[in-house]
Amino acid sequence: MENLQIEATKSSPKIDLNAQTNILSIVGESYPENTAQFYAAPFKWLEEYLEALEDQELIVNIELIYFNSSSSKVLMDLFDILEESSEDNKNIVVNWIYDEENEASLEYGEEFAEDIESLTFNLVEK
Amino acid sequence: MQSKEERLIQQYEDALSASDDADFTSKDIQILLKAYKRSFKQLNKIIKISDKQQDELKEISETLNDKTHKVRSLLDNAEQGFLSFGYDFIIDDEYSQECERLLGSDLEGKDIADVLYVNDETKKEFLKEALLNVVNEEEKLIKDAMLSLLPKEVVVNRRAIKIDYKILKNRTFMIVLTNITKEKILEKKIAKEQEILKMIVIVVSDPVQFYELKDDFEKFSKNRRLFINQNLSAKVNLSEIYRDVHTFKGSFSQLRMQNCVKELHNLETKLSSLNTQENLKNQDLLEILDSADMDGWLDKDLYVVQEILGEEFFDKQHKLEVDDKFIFNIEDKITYLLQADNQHVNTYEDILNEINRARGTTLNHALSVYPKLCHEIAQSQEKQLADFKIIGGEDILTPIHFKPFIKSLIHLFRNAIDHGVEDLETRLTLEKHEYASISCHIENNKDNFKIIIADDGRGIDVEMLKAKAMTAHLYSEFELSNMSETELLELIFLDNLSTNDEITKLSGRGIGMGAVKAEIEKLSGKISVESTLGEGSKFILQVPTSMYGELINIASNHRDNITIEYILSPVVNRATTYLQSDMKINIKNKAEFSYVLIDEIKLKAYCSYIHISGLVDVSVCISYDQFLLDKLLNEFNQGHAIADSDIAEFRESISKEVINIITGNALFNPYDKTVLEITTPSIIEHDELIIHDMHQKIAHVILDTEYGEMQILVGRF
Amino acid sequence: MAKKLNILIVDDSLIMRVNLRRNLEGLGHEIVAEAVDGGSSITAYQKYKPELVTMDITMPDMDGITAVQKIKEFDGNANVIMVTSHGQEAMVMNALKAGAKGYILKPVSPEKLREAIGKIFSELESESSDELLEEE
Repeated sequence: MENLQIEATKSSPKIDLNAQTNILSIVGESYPENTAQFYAAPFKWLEEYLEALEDQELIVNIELIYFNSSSSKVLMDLFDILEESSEDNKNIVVNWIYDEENEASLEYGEEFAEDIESLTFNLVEK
Repeated sequence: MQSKEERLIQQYEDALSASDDADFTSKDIQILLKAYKRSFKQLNKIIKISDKQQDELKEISETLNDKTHKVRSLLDNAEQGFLSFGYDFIIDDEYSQECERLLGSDLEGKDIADVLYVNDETKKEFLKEALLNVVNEEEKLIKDAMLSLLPKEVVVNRRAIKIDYKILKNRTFMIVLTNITKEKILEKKIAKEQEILKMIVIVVSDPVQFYELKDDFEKFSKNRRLFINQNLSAKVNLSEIYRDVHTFKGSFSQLRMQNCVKELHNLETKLSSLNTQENLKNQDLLEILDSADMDGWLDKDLYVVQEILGEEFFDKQHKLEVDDKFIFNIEDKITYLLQADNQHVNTYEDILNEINRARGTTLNHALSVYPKLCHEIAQSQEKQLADFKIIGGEDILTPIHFKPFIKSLIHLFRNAIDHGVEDLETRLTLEKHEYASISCHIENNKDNFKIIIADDGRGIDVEMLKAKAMTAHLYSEFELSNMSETELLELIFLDNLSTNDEITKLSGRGIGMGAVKAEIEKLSGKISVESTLGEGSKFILQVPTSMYGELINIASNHRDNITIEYILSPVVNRATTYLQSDMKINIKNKAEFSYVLIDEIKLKAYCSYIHISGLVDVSVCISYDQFLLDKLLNEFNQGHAIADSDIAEFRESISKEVINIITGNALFNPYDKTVLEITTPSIIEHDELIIHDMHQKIAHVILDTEYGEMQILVGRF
Repeated sequence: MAKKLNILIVDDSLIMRVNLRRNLEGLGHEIVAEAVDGGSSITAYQKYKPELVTMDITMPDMDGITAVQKIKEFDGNANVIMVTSHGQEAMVMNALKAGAKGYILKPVSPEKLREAIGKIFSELESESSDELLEEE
């Protein structure tokens, strides 16, 4: 499966979806003008990928220093999808990466973690 | 892109719309409820996160305000103005308080160039262009070099402001403004004090120049109305008056009399603005002149002098040492003009009178002491002398160096009485008038003048002269026998230099005649004598007037004055500092400039010249005595020896280099956009100076050093 | 210690060339060539490829500014310092625009030369420009 890479911009994060290494990463800031439009392709890719995923471990790294409300929804949708897959016995690890200096970032991670049950969701200090 | 819940809802919606009586089981409802709950939960979570984000934002905002406030506080109290602007030169909103104090309020949104250089379009252009050049330049080095060319000082609202430039990221410029008015005021104060000192020095060392100017100006002030000739148009009068004012300004400037310079400059400006006025009337000119308190101006400067030098300085009698050449030629010129142009008769006669008054002595006046003197001598010898007056010579001026000659004439008169005039008895016996007569006529001819002093006394005894000459071993009998009457009479002028008492007194005409001859010959004149024994003698003293050389064109060319002086002063100043500070060569004299005619200039051995064009159109020539040039060469070359074969080339090179440095440095004014083009220097030989107009005035300055002289010429050639 | 540079001197004045040579050699540099006008300066540059050029602004025939342009055309990295007796902003600005890297005002002194050269080759110099008072 082809990898998907999207370069970061001022208002959108760098997206690196790698089917070979099985590492998906979202890094930067997320407040694109049209969130749905921006995340459409990555989500599509993810669907395909998860289908094909067997028992390899999938690592999802998220390092966002800023994200707007629309992006929060996207993230939660993402976690839902991943949780579903995880319940399907797929091996998935989500790492929420935050900067020690940035207390708020940790808090956001905690908020997300609160609603997550079966998915492995780690809060990782950078 | 839809979430799980959204898809679920969509599913049911689709199912509903597909069939009217779709049946939903409790399971369906459960699924829907679950989906709804999940959505609801997600929404809450999003809101919660959003709230948190807003809190964070608020905190950041407060911190930002705080910091901004602190920084602002720092800047506002820094006593320096900080402001920034982008490539559009529009001032940003954030600037420190000092900026307002210095540049005015409400700066944001204004164009920085407009604020700094309110009316000066050229400077505005240059600033913007230069700043853009700096940012377009990539290399830091060149950038820095360009930055160094930007204006470092500016005056806004009568405050002197120093400007430092910083280039920031984000296409922004920042400037730091510092108020240096106090420093500038102090600088000006010191400069003023120095000027006063200089004025005092000049006045004390050359009081003649000072008094001349003072008198001239007082006269100008008194006679100002006369300069407006009602027969001429206002424009013509304006032109003349302007010229005079400008000349006075220059003269006062030379003497460092600052107040007069300042006031005259203002007057000049006023007059100059009239030039473009339509329908200018003489009345207008009159008004302007009348309103000028010239005496007041002079008084102010004089007051300063008086304060320092004391009142007695002004009471001292002053002798005028005027350049005789100049006087003589003024006279000639005026005489010529009088013939050609009767309209100005009054002015010129006035001037003549003034010259006479200033000079104090016409020939007539100079000799007028003699009649009285003669009477005294006659009286002491109990001889009777008829009254006589000096006739003629009222229109001949006696230059200072005529004085010895005039003084020597005492001998003529004395001898006339001593040896010429007989005593009363003898005269009566000879049936001569009891009152002897001596006469003194002065004839004014074109090329010369003659003083004819005659008496009706004894006449000259040639035989006696012969005898004396032989006794004194001055001539042999043989020589004497071969002389003509005229030649014999001329023996009278022989003075015997021997200190031998016996021969000290020659009978006939005594000592002193030789002195007269010597003096007149110094003036390139000659003395001759006619005599008839028993009847009297006549001495004819002839002095040529044409020995004083070419006419100096005293008609000043207004335009030339401006251009020459504009260049002359800084060039001479720089030349002075170059010699003294750079080359450590002491200058012995005070640099004074005079205007000379082209053929009076003697160029020195080594000479180079440059031409300046642009705002002015003038040439500068500097020539050097060889010794001085070699000294400069030596200094420049740091003492290294130069081979004889190369010396000529080196001398040429250094003479060009020096004029290059001096004029280049002198005419560089970083705060003035005047553009001058200076040519590369050329070497010229003596006779090569090409002049456009023989009567051009050339400003001429000599700097005298222990190694020789540097001659600086500025003019149109 | 400053790096020793190969320098081309361009000036139509004999005494200036001699003077500059002496000053520059005194600072430890080597003069690879001298040129007496703009035209020959370009040929000299092409031949000797000096690391630094000192260029007189006013010369007969081709002036310094044109010469700088042409030298920079040949070698975009050329280092040229203008030497001028009058720092008339407009002229110097043009020279800098043409690619000169600095300028010196006559009369020339070793200090001025060292400073101007130092600015160009500063990465090779270790002295900082931050002046400090003497230690008591």
